[in-house]
Amino acid sequence: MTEKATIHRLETGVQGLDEILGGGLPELSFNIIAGPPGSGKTTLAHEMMFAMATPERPAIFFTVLGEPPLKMLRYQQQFDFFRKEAVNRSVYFINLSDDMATGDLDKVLARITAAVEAHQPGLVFVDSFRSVVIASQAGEGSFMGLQQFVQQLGMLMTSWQATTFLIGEYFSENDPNPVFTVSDGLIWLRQSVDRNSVVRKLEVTKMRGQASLPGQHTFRISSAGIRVFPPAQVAVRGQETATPPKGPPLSMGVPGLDDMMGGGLPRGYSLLVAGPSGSGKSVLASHFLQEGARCGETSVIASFEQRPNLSRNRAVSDLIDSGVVALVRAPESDLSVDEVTTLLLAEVRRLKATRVVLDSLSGFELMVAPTFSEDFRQSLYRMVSALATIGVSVLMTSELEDRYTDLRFSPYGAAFLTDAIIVQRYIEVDSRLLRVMAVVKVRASAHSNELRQFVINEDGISIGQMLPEFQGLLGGRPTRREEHDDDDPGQD
Amino acid sequence: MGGTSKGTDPNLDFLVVGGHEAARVAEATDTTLRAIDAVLSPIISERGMAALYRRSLFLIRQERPWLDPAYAADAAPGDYEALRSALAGQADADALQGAGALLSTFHGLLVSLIGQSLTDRLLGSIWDQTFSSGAAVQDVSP
Repeated sequence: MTEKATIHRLETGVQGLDEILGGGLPELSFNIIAGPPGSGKTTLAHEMMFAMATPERPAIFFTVLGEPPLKMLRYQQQFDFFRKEAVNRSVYFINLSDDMATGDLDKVLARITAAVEAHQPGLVFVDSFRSVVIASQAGEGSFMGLQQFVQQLGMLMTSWQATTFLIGEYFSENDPNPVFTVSDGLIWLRQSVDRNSVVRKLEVTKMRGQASLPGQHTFRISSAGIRVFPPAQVAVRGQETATPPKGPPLSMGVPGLDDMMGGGLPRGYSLLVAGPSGSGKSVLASHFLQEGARCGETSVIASFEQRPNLSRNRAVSDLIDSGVVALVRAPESDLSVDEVTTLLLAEVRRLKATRVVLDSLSGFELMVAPTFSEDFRQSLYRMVSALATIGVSVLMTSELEDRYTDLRFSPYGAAFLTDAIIVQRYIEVDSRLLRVMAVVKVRASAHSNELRQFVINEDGISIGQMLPEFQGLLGGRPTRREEHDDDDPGQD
Repeated sequence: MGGTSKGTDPNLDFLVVGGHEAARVAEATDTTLRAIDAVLSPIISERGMAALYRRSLFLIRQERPWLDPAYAADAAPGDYEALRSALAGQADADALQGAGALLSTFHGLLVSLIGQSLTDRLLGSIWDQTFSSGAAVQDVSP
């Protein structure tokens, strides 16, 4: 015997789950879906079942005492994945509560066997397994009874070539439950509570025969079903572009700015536009999007403003309406960065977009669930890297409290994450607030070091000249020089 | 004509086939309930089916005191003998009307819980095939 057994992997039909599992669900595996009540176990099981079941590979969903089957059918059919036409054709619901009530697990097993013989399912679900545990204790009162039951069930299902799922609540991770030993796969669903915020998380703690993605991954349940958000690097796997991406730098759409940047924004670069409130960051971003549209490129903008319609200008709205720019509106709260990455990447793929705008990091951070706050910087780094990997250029705006005592670019250390930085500042001259802008960094590019005045008018940003007659601009209150000298004030 | 069109109430025409005799109505009702039982009990358990049946009886018996014995009967799940006796003992028109009310109520109850389309999916064949032509009633006549 030199050839290995071939393990086919089933597509679960749950968005993002196959990536986490390591390429799908191994056929004929014996799996446990565990988690507390309300964590989405039955929903996950149903979604997988309706996606995988066919008349040739039917599924049996055994319901045990837990949730009354009528209620389960009533609620589960609210999801889009619930195909009513599949019921009694490729999906069979069978209730075991009458047998389970006796506590005689032999009888239960016999009933399961009979059903399996009758329908020859390729997929078997038992929900909820907690009831089996309780029944076994009520019956013979021995833990071995349960273990034997599980082992026999596992053996039976494998022999009958069925991929099996036990759905269980109240399993404790620390409890050396014999069921865990027998299982090939173990999927935990959790609800992580931090203050007033609840985030759903999924973890594959065991998946025999393949490399699943370790760690907890956020997911959401909507009327469409479950959507799991894999980490950014995994989400772009297989789509990597040549590094650096080919093509001329992207034009920013603001006259004079490309020259300041040494020719524009190199493809695949991330650009941080930092500045105080009202300095024109979003206006710059809208130039960036409009220029993309003018050049025949498509873009995606993720808006994290509380009232996006107010903050977005007309030109960008028109681009969104015309479909050249896709708008990603993240759910209101309890976000994870991976979730936003998933939504962004989906739109980037759909439009084959080359430009992405995140407006703003400050709003983004406010919407991220508290449980992810500490990891915000790392997650952001992974997101930006993933976007760069597929050759997309990213413009991020960041609100910066204007402190005139130091030169800062971002409260998140995002300056380090990005390839290019443009900073905008206010200065006071003759009792007026004027705006200045500088290109602080464009990695591997000979960019300008000029601090240039700019104005915002009905056409957007108009970059003016330097103010060589003033000094101390970054201090916010420049003073007029007594006499000109030729020192170049630019530095770093 | 034939059976229930999707999304409508069950067609109970089969109850009147073969005349309005109470005994025939009782027989057809019993057969129908057992057919429903055979479909639903595996899915929602025998007790789940029995609960729906008793709820339906409860809802229609207020206007039909003659159904009280059927409701009070301590019948095992799947045993519709008490109902059958009650129906058979009525005037033909009352039996027909009572049986129709019971099956319609049962159907409506299920629809309220799991929706019309899933109810049709599960029970449609009973209305459509078993009794649509009325021939089945004659098949089971004594």
